[in-house]
Amino acid sequence: MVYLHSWQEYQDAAEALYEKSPNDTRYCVKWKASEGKLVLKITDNTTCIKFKTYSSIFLNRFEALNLSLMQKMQNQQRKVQEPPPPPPVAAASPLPEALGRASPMQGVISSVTPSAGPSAGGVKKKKQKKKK
Amino acid sequence: MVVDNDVFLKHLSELFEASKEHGSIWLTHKRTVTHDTTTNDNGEYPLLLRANHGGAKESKISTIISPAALPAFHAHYAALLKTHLTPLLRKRDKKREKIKSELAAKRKKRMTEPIVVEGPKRGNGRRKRQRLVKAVKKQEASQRAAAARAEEEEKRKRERV
Repeated sequence: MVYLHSWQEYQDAAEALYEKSPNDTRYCVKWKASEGKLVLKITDNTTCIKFKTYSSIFLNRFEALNLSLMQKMQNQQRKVQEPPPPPPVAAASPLPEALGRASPMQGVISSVTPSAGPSAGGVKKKKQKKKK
Repeated sequence: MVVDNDVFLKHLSELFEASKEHGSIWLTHKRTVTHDTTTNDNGEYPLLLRANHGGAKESKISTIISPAALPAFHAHYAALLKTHLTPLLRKRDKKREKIKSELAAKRKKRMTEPIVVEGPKRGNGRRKRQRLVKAVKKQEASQRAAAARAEEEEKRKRERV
């Protein structure tokens, strides 16, 4: 039994393990509410890999993994199209930041371009910070 | 006890409520392999989802999800999980993340920034030079250790796949 510490590693390993022996592998989720602990476990009776978290930042990724594994269990071919959705979910948080960072620069280069919209959003954010 | 998908979701919600104070919930997902029919319709299998509450027999429920019902079921299932997990999981702590990333950056800088050995070899300032030499050696050792660790990690990853 091994706990993996990085989500990406866990996801890859879990999917690989499932592909290896789809008829024996089971996927368990343990939720302990009193501690707020979520443990994912996937095993084919010889190897067992686990992932443990107390943090809600993995919820969306967890959801995506659930779906992808369930589809694999049903042997659905749609799973081939599945991989694209998780990355946007995982990258959802850095994306707005990148946009925010990129927009002021665009504003500096050419303030007349339609990029004024996103930069206005950045200004709003700054105002909120000042109020606090 | 095998129940309908909808009934299962309702029971699961009750299970979450019941285990709020103590105990835990197990959700097991696996393929249902039937032995009598060798070929299912276009090779798809139904999925067995079982939920239980730390060994108490009466609270063990399960449901079988057909391939066609999965998208609708997953939507409900995911929403249910989210509503029950979110309040009890730790929220994203940006302050802590920032401190951690800053520390990591500092450590990386210390490991990668080249150290210039300068100053007189003998006489006044020799000690200072010696310290720099020592620092270079230490940095090289840490770099070697990091490389070894990365290699080990890579190896383990390959073994698992």
